[in-house]
Amino acid sequence: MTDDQPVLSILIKSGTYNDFMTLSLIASGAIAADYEVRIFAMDDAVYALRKENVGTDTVVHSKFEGFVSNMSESIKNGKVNAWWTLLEELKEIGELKITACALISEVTNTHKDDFHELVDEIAGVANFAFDLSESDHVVSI
Amino acid sequence: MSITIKKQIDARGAVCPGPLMELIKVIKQLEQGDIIDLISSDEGSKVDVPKWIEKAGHTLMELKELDGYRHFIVEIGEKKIRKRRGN
Repeated sequence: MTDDQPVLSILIKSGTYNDFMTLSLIASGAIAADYEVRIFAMDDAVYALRKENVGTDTVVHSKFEGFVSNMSESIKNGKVNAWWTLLEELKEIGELKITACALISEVTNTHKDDFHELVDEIAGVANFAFDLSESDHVVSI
Repeated sequence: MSITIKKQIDARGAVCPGPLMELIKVIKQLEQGDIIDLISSDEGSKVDVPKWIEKAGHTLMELKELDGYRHFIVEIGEKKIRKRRGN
């Protein structure tokens, strides 16, 4: 049986651990539902995807101390997969592409080699607009 | 009727979406008709796993509730081939 694979595009602007966690969880639900997932990173999110930041920044932000301590402990003891681990797994089992915004990459002097291997390409907003035109759903974080 | 479990996945201790991701990974490696035993203690799996199994065209043969965890016995159905758009 062959039919068109649905597409979910996700725009992420924030570079916080919390928002990347949200990104990875939404992407995992979509991959499980057999969507192709296309992620476009802008602003802070571009910087969060640099080699030196992926795998090192585990600071959870919240105004609730209980949330911070519970989440931090769960990340530390492996109960919760870190967002980069989850995204790596999703790339193994489904179709997931991460694109970094060309403008932000340029102004932060971030080249393809400076990004973690999770990042597939650097492209402009026109490419993102094209992705949107093919998407069934769009989520902004 | 006795069933033969091709692969057991012990995902106890993993939280959402870990158990489901493990199940999807294993299903990709096995064939139609193979049977998998997924063990999960995650509360979210109770809803997510049966729903995903049905949507993906597999069969939940049995759901065993035990003390603090569940066994999902899954038979792999026909695998769908999806055509990618553009790119």
